[in-house]
Amino acid sequence: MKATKFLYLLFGLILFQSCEDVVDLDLDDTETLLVVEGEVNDIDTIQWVRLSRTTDYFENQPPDYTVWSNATVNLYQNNSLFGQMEFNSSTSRFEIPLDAQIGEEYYIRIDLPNGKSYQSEVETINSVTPIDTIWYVENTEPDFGDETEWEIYIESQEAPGVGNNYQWKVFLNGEYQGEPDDLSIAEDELVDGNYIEEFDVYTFDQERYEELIAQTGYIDVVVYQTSISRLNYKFLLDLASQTAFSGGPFSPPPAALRGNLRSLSDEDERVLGFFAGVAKTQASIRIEP
Amino acid sequence: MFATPKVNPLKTLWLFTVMLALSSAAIAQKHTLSGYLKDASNGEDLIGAAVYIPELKTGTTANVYGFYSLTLPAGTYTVEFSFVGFQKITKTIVLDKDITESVELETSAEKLKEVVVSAEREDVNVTDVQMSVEKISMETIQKIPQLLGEADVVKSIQLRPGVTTVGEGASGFNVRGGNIDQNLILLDEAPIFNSSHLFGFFSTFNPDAIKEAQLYKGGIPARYGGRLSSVFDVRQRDGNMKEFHGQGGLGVLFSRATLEGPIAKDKASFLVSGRRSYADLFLKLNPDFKDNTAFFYDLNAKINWRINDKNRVYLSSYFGRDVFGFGDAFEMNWGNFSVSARWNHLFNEKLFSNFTAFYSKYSYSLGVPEGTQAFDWKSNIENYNLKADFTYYLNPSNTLEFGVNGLLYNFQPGRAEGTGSNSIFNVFQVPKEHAIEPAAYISNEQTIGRFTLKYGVRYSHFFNVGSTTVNEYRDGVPTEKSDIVRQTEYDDWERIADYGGFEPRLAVNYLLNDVSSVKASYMRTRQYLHLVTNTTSATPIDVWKPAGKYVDPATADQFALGYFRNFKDNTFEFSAEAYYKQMQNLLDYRDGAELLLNDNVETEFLSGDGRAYGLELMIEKRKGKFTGWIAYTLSRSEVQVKGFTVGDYTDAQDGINNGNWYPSNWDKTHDLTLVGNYEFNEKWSVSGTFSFMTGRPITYPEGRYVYDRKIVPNYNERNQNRIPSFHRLDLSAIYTMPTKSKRFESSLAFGLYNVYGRKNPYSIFVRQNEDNAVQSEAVRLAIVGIPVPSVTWNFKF
Repeated sequence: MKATKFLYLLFGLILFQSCEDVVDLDLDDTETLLVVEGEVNDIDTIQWVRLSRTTDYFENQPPDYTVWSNATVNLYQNNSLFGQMEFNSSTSRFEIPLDAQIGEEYYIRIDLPNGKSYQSEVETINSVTPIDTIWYVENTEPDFGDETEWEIYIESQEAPGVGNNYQWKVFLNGEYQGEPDDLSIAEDELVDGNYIEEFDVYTFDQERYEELIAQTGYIDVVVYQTSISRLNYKFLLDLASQTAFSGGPFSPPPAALRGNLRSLSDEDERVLGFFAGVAKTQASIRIEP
Repeated sequence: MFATPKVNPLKTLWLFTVMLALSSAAIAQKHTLSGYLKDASNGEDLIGAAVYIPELKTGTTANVYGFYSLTLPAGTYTVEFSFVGFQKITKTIVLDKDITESVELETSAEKLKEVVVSAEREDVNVTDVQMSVEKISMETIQKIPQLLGEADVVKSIQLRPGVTTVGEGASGFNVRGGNIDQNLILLDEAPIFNSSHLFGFFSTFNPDAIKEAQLYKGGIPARYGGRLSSVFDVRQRDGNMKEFHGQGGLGVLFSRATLEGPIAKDKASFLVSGRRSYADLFLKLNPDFKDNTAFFYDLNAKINWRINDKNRVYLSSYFGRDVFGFGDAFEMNWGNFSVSARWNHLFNEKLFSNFTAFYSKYSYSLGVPEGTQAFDWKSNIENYNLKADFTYYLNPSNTLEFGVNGLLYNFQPGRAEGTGSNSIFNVFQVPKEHAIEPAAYISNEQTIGRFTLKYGVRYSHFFNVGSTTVNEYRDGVPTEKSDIVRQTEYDDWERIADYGGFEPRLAVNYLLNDVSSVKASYMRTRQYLHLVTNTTSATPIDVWKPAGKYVDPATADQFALGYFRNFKDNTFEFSAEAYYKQMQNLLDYRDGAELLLNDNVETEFLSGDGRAYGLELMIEKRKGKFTGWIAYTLSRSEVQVKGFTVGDYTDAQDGINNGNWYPSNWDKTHDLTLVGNYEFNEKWSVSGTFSFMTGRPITYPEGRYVYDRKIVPNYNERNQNRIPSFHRLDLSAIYTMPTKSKRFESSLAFGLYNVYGRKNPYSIFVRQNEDNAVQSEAVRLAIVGIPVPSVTWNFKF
């Protein structure tokens, strides 16, 4: 709901007097945990899983996705082993060819060389309605500030029946917009079965516009509308609150994200991340000067 | 050898009978002296003013309505009526029958030449059985430097020992390790559910309209109930009974105006007081923000009618609101409304009564007014109350208080609906809830030699009733939404759940000598409402949840022991209090809880226990050109939330921090406050406050990982770290402007908040760098990180 963004903006306004500055912080060294990120979807022919591990908070390096390249990752479909995923060194992912289908159930099992094993919860691929319309608006009088904003809108039918959850992913000239505050998710409880008109799915500023136009002369916008499970929705909601909306007086307290994986070897061992089963639909538009 | 005297039962019985007869004869010869004590300049009640009989070395004090009653043997007495800052009146009274003697005290010459920061008799801190109570005179509050120069009752009380907040500008306050929802905040006996404007920067209490504010941190009298940790009893002024007057102020952020005067001289008066902020007026000057709105206002009104010596009626009301709007993109408002009617009736010279009816409501509304995402979201809590309080002045050694109370609550946790013809939103209603809370209490204050005892008990019961809809879960306890097996509909007034229990209260004062005493107290308190909030500072859109099928009432037991000593003719007051408080059934939340517009919010709750203990030291100078205090608190506040499993549900099995005790968000080991005011002359006075406190607990990450290209902090156990210590110096100076008019006076208040511009961290949090997606950083958030000057013009006529 748009209100959530406004609420955070409103609460942020009280900080008009406040100031933020980057400080040094001594943090304790801690144990290293397995991190899993994976997805099975209905439009790609290659399904994937990435393994990495936690690092010190200020170790400002990209994650090492090769650290568990010798792990065994098996994909299960409808409770049966579909196949073992192979590590692709060019993508640093475990991959397997599969045309996943709506309604099918998937989970993974990971066996590390150190003898530890992990398993995800079962994810079901739920259907998603198509994006009927996509357009953009050059808004020269935005609600806040005086800088022109570029707003991407979509329209779509929400499927009847409460329980649908969505994530939207936006690509600009092929680049995924993955900043914490780019995360866009929703549940259907307040809009069940309605036609969703004029949904402002993504906004970027004039500076970004000029940067992209300078690169290619146009901006190709691709929007994926994705159906996600309820557990995935809650995971992403927590992810947003712990990354995009943290630290203020009205922020939720810091907390560990609860994914959908568990250790089969040690019930007290935490495993981070999420293995998702999703259905996707997409729409695209080109912005030209 | 002396023979041991034999006890003759018959003789003993005869002696007892004679003593009883003599006692009865003595009682038969007693008469009662009673009346009201008032300020001669405006007719306001003098709460806590003293009545003293030197011949008997006994006396009493006026209650919150200025009434006193003393029952004495028939005789001729010298009676002294006194109050700090007022001229003592001595009268000779022949007490050969019941006598009503109401007295108006004149402001003393002493008060004109030196400051006496008191609103009660001088040695009350030593002699009164009540301990753990904080009171600051409105005169002092007006001088304490505050943000943007606005005198603030709530911020001032936070400078006393045992009172803290989670951070600068936070809503509410924490008393002796309790959460902010454990404070019963009363304005003329009606509860105020949100005591803040502008998210917590300012309180809802307009200082010009307030007569007295008293905070009970422990040993809470039996007449109060409903919250675990404290009662903040705020009384509005009655309005001048003698003359028409006004006062006001023009400040940086808002302006105030108050009018008061007699409706019928010495019979009825009125008071109207209002404030409004005007930041929004400046917004309109900026083309980028001209369509935006941001302001708050409040209005206090009161009528006070003395019908006759036995009957008096008060009608008072408060209405306040914060309003924000961003063009046609978003709008939001919230605030309190309360109205209370009180009737003081004197059944006879010994039996004083007060009957109160009030209605109180806190509500908020937010929404998008136009477009396809137009919606309106409303929530409120309503509270109706009828109560009767009686004080029976049995004799100089015993004062009995008793009463009954009935509360009705209506809860509207949230209703959201699309507005306009093309909104995409449906109607969503979180089921309303209703509750009834009857209570009764009795207590007696008894003096036995050097001992004063106050013992009593309160019984309260809470009925969560229909009509409403209640979720039923697979295993009988709320686990998760998917475990809801059905919903049960309850009819109007149909019982859903009920809880009740006794709340014993005990206080003891032992006078060591005329200037020192030792006090102890115990209280059990019960709380049937929980503020559902999961953020560091409470927000205006938090909702209250009543005890019900899945939520137990919270209880607390608090023990306190104190030593009180005055020096130099009550110029200095010293106190040392130690307390231990244990709390049960506190509401906590699962990580990542969704609390708003959630019709199965009970699945987000966890139940825990709390414990708090500490030592509070304070020395205060109350007379002379220099006044002020030093307060220090050493304390600990902890929470324990154990997990549970039911059936195959194991998500909550670890509780919080594996069920171990951990520090609460407002746990601050050391809290030191220095407050000082110096009166240079009739024109100039300066004040300063310095605060130091241990940083609050916080949770830092144990590492990081990347998911969906976002750097995610890896948190583990809650509140295992602390932000750096807080300290701040504020200064103010008041210049009373010379005037030739006897009717009009004005002053300028200059303030400098956060003098040395310390960036006290409200929080330290981590985030992904905006420009470098692989770099993470720690950020310090300071709410007021710079010195903030202010000037306010105040006037009176």
